[in-house]
Amino acid sequence: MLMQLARASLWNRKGTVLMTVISLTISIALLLGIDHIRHEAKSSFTSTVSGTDLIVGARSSQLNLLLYSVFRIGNATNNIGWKNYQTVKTHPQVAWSIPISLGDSHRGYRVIGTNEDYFKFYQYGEKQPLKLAQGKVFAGVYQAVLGSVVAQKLGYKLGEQITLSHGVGSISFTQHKDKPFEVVGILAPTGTPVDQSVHIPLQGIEAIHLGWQSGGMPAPGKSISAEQSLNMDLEPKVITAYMLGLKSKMATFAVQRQLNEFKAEPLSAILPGVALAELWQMLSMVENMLLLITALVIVATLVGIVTTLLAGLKERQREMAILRAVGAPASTVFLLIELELLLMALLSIGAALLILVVGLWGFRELLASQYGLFISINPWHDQTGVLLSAVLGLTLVLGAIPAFLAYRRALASGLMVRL
Amino acid sequence: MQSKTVNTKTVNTKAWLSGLLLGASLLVNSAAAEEHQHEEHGSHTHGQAVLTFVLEGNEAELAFATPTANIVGFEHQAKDDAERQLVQKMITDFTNASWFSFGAEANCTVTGTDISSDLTAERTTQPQHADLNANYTLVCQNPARLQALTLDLATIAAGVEKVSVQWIVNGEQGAADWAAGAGALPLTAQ
Repeated sequence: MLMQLARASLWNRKGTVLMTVISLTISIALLLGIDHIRHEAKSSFTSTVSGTDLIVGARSSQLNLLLYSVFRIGNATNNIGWKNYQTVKTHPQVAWSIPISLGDSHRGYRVIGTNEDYFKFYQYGEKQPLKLAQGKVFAGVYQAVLGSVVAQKLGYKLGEQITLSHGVGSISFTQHKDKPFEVVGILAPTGTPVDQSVHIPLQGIEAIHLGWQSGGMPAPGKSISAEQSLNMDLEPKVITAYMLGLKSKMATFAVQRQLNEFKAEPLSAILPGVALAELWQMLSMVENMLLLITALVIVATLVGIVTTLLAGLKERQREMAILRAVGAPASTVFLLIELELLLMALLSIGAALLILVVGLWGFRELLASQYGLFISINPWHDQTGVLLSAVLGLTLVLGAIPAFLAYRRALASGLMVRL
Repeated sequence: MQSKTVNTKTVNTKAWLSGLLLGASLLVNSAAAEEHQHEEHGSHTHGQAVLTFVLEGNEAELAFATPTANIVGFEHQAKDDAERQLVQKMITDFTNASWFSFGAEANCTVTGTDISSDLTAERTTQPQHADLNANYTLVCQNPARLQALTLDLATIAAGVEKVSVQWIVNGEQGAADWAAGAGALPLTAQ
C-alpha cells in the first residue's frame, strides 16, 4: 500500500526524480568504479609474476626494475653484461634463470628477446606455466612466438612474416625490414602482459642490430643481410634483466645481498613480491584520497537530493494533507518520504552497476593494451555490499530531515485555508 | 619422528649454506678478474631496522639488523665499564630471542642464534658506523598456522622506531613496515 503510494508519487514527479536519480547514479558509479579498479589492478599485478624468487637488472630502484622487466612499463636505466649473467647462472643456488632483452617493438607491442627457458620456467597466477595455443617454441634465430592478444589483434597466423621496429613507440620510422621474423608459435591467453608481447630469441635481437653499432641504421651498403648474420657471432653482449629461480627459498635474501654487492657490475636484485608490496604502500595514500573524494561527492549529491526534497515539500503539502485527512497516521508521511528516497537510491545503485559493467566491458581492451591492466567486468567485491549499505544508510539518515518536517507539518499547513 | 624430520632439514640447511658460500666466492672471484671494481656502501639509517624472515617447510630463518645507536646509543667501541655493560646487555637481550614471536599455534622454537656486532668485533680501523646483526634459525611444528609476527623492541632497542619487514612465507613474498608500538604484523600476501 505504502509502496504503491511511493511509486505513484515518484512517477507523478518523474522529471525531478529522474534528475535526482541520474546525479546519484553518477556518484555511486564513481565510488564503485574506483573501488573496483583498485581491487583489479592489485590482483592483476600480483598474478603477473609468480614463482620467480629474484629479478636482477642494472642498479636502479626496485620499482623501476619490476615495472620494466615484468610489466613492460617504462625503460631500463642501463643494460647488464651477458658475461656476468653467465657467472651468476653458475651460482650453486640458482635453479633456473630467464634472460630478458627489451628495447624493440612490433606495431606498439613490446618485443622480448629471451630463450627457451622463458617458456619452461616463467609462471603467472597460481604458479601456472605458459602454454602454447598453436605451434611451437622458437628454435631458429628469425622465429617469433606471439602473445595471444598480439596474434588476435593483428590477425597473425603461424608461418606469417613480421617486421620489428627499433624503439618502443607504436609508430616507428626505423624498421628492421631486412630481417623479418616468422611466427612459429602463439601462446594461450594468460591475462598478463605476456599476452601483449612478441618473443624472439636473444640471437634474433643481436642479429637485427648487427651493423647498428654507430647507434642508428647502418649506412647503405654496409648493412648485413639476414643470411650473412647467421654466420656471425650472435651471442649477446648485454641483456636488460634476468629472472632467477632458486633451489631453496631460504637462500633468497642471502643471494639477493650477494648480487647487490656484486663487484664487477652494479646490479639490483629484487624480490618481486616485496617490490609489489612497496608499490601498494606508495599507492595506498593515493587510493585513500580517491576514496575520500568519492565519498565526499556522494555526500554532496545526497545533500543536494535532500535540498530538492525540502523544496518539493512545499508543492506536496496538499498531497500530504490529503493523506492525513483520509486517515493516514503521521508516521505514514514519514515512512512514505523515506521509502521514496530508498527507491531512488536503489534505482541509482542498479543503474550505477549497469553503467559500470557496460563501461568496463567497453574499456577493457583499451586498459589492457595501453596500461597492461586486466580488469574483470564483475564489479562486485567483498566490501561492495558494505559500501552500498553505507550509501543507503546515509540516504535514509539525511532523508529523515525532510521526512520529519513533513511529518510535523502535514496536517496543520496543508489544509489551512490561505488567502 | 618429529626430531627426525628436523634432522634431515638441518642437513638441507647446511647444503644451501655451503651453496651460498660457494656462490659468494664465485661472485667475488669473478669480480677480481674484472678491471673496474666499485665499493658497496650498505644503507644505515638511524631509528630504523631491517628484518627478513623466510619460512620453508617447517624451517625458518629470521635476520634482524639495525645501527647499534638504536640500541645502546653509540656506535663506537665501548670506552668505559658502563658502555661495556650496555654492549653486553645488548648481546644478551638479542641472544635470549624473546623480542619476537609468531603466535602459539605455529609452535616455533629457536634452534640457533648468531648475534654479531661491530662493537664486539676486533677492529683495526675506526669505522663510521656500527651495526647489530641478529640471525636466528627456527623450527615450527605447525608452519601452516604461522600468520603473524609480533615484535617487542621497546625494552631492548628503544631507538628503533620503524622496522621494514620483508618475508617469504611458504613461497609467498611480501613486505610491510612495523612501527614502534604497533600490534602483530600479518605475514600474508598483499
